[in-house]
Amino acid sequence: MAIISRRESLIDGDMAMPERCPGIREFVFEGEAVLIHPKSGHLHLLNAEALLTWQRCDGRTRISEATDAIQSGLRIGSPQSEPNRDQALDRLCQLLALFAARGLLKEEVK
Amino acid sequence: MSRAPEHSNHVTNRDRIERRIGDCTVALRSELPELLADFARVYLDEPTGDDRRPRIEMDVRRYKRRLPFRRLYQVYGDGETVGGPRPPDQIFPFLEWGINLRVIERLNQYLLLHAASLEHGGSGFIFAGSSGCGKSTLAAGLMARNWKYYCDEFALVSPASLFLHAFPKALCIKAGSFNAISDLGAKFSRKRDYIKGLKGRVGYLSPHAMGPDAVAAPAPVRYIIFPRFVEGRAPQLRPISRGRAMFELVKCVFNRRRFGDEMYSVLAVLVRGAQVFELCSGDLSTTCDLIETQLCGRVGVTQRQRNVVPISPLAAARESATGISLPPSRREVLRFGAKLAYVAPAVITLSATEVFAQVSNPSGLCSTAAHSGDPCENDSDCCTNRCNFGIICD
Repeated sequence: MAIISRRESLIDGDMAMPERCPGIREFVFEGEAVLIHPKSGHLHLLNAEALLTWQRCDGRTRISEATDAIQSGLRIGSPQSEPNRDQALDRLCQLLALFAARGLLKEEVK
Repeated sequence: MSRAPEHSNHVTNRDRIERRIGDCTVALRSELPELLADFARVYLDEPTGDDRRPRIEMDVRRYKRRLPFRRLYQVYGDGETVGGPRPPDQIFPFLEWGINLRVIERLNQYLLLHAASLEHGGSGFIFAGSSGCGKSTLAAGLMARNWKYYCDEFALVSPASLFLHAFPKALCIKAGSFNAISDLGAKFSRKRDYIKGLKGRVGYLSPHAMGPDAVAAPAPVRYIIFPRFVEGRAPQLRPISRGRAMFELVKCVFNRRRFGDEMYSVLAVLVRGAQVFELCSGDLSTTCDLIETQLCGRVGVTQRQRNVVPISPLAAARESATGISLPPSRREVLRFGAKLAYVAPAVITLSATEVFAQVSNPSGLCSTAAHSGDPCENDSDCCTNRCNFGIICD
């Protein structure tokens, strides 16, 4: 995935701002969400962490800001270990790659 | 699909029977006397007079191309052929399947889910899942405990009121469950067994045999449960997140074409107003005990309480740490149930759901292609052998 291959540059404070595809329906339930892709009709279930990422794919939030959100999200999810920024970025890259693979993100990243 | 040929003159009123099933009138015409007799036995002879009610015309005729030493019959539903010709011992299940297909086609005022639906204490219960997950057996077991019946194959949900409605078809029970049903003391009428595709030997049980008021009046959906039968396992009932419930429920919708995108909004409201669980069912009696113990004490709870995920934070944390799901003790249920009712339920629900979401959805994103809604070209055991409605499942 392009996003993963660009991971090194993302660590250095990439200014990329991923944006979701238009027309995707979203139902949020207590920290989870169900997305419905308008063209394929496929459903996607997002857990709290994926939802955090998804909500920041608005074309205005930078990767670095999304990483902050994921880092705080991971901290809430596993209070025993403090996740570092690298872990958060890894996770963000994984999730963005998943979104991209399922056609949920615009191909052109701003 | 080919059209049914015109009726021959020898078909008389003796070859024809009409029965009311829920909102439908089903008229059956057949040359097979035992089929008519079985149909007459499982469905009560109620007045069918209302002309505005949907009318389903089923026809079972001897297959034209006769094979030596083998009688085959063809089922027609509203004039269309239903699958291929069948021998007499398979014809009743096939007829029922044909009626179900017509229901999907005709009862468009309801959102139709692949689920058993029952009522208890004024609350509607949906047991949703694909064929073979134990819906009908569970429905029969709970009916033996005076639960009221809507249907063992559909949940008919009114999109406006979100109330469940009845289509009280005969319950189709697999041979493996005959003893379990008898052990519960259910007085079902079953005179003949049939063969139904991969399910093998099945028997049909009349809901009316359970009593004159066995069929439920419309009631709001309060519980959505996703059962899964695992032989020999101790039954477990676990709350699931509403996101997961909606995700699973979409896969159970039969008439998504009729509702289009509106379906998602209806399901979201349905899921938000209900408590949602997954059920790993085992022994029938123990499973029914579990459902009644865990859920029925809560029937009639207020709207505020219903919005709370019915698991204590303690139990959720324990499950997260050990990976083992134990039902909360009565004390826990009372203690946390009372607390949740008074102290910021949204916040506590969120954290409990997060714990669950990580357990159930570790990759962060599950995806599916739900039912396409296209009728299968084959017959009762459709292309994937998972769904007996001929719906293509991806």
